[in-house]
Amino acid sequence: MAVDIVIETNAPEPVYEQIVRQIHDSVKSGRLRPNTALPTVRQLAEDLAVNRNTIARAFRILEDQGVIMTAGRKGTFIRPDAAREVVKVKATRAERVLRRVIKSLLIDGMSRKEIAHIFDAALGLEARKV
Amino acid sequence: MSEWVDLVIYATLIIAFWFVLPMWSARFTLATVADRNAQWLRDHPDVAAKLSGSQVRWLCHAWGLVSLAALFAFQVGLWPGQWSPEALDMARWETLKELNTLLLLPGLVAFIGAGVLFSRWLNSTVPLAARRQATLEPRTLDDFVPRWAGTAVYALIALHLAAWLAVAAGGWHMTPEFWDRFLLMLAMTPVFLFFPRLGVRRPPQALDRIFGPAFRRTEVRYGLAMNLVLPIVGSLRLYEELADAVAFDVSRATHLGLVLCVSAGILRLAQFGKEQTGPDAAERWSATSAATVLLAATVLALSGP
Repeated sequence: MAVDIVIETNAPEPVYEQIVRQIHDSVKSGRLRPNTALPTVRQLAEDLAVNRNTIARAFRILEDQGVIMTAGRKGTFIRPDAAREVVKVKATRAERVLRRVIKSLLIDGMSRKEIAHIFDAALGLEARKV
Repeated sequence: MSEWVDLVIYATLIIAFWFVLPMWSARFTLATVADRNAQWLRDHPDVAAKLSGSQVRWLCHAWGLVSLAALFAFQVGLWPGQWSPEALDMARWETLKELNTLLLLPGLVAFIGAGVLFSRWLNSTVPLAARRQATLEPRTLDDFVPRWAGTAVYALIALHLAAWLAVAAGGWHMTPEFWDRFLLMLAMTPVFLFFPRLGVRRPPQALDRIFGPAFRRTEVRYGLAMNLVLPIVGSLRLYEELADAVAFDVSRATHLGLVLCVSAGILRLAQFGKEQTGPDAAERWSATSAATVLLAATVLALSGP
């Protein structure tokens, strides 16, 4: 079944990031299977009525992350190991965010034990919400 | 063949183009605006009311009636002497054809002009909705037409052009019109090939979202089928070149065939949307009339000279 991309042009998140995020989610959930063909940059840009550079940027990011591969005139496809790459990308991003937060808390004078305690409590609260 | 056959075929086109098509497209004017930005339409009820009450379709119907009356008047001889076929030194069917074209062109220009104006108004007045959607699926010809059908059509086109090239290279042509016909075939082939490609590549529009994938599929298949016109006509012309004989009036048959194809396309188009809004009585009547005159034309054509 075909996967749809939905964008909001007035959202704070840039359009290219919305596209990258949705393709990540579709790959991770299995809705976009390995070796699935993607539309061309031109087609997707026209269908979403956005600039081609926006789509090209999203595709470039996905290719650098190892999620998609471009096979010349044959088109663009989801890589066979895309799901693993998506998990890796999300983990790297999460680690970057956490490091930034931890650094900020350390600068504020909190100890590692206090930070770990707060982290566990917050994780417990968020886990219960989910 | 009697010119009455030509008349009923032209009448089919007139009914399809000036009655069925305007009624059908009027039903989807608001839907087209809503597809671009539904919130904007809700915020502007005055515009919605104005679009719903548009009088353009009645102008189309009036022009259709004028066209039908003019063609019929010509056929029964109620026509000024200086514009008769004898005065113009043209065959009767040719005069009828030119009259139909003369009537069609201004209305066509006005119709297309109205379409362009509406499109410009839409693009400049109604902002695109912030929320947009697209399918992550590439579109190719194989998605709309069975591969064997596409291959067969393209093979036929290639064979047809190869035949013309062979006749040209072998010098087997008999008539002085050969090179004109050859160049016309060469020039028209890429034009016809463009139609199915356009259907595949164009971005999704309001009617695609309203009618679903069947709409684009019909458009692409119709465009591909139109590519058979040149090989069919070209083959008849090649026969004339090789045998130095005239099988029948190819020009007349080609023109009438094209008119029938266009009429059939419009009537097929009008089938879309019956589930969504249902045709009104007038549209049903028009479509039935067009189909009836088409049947009449077939019967007349088959009944004799």
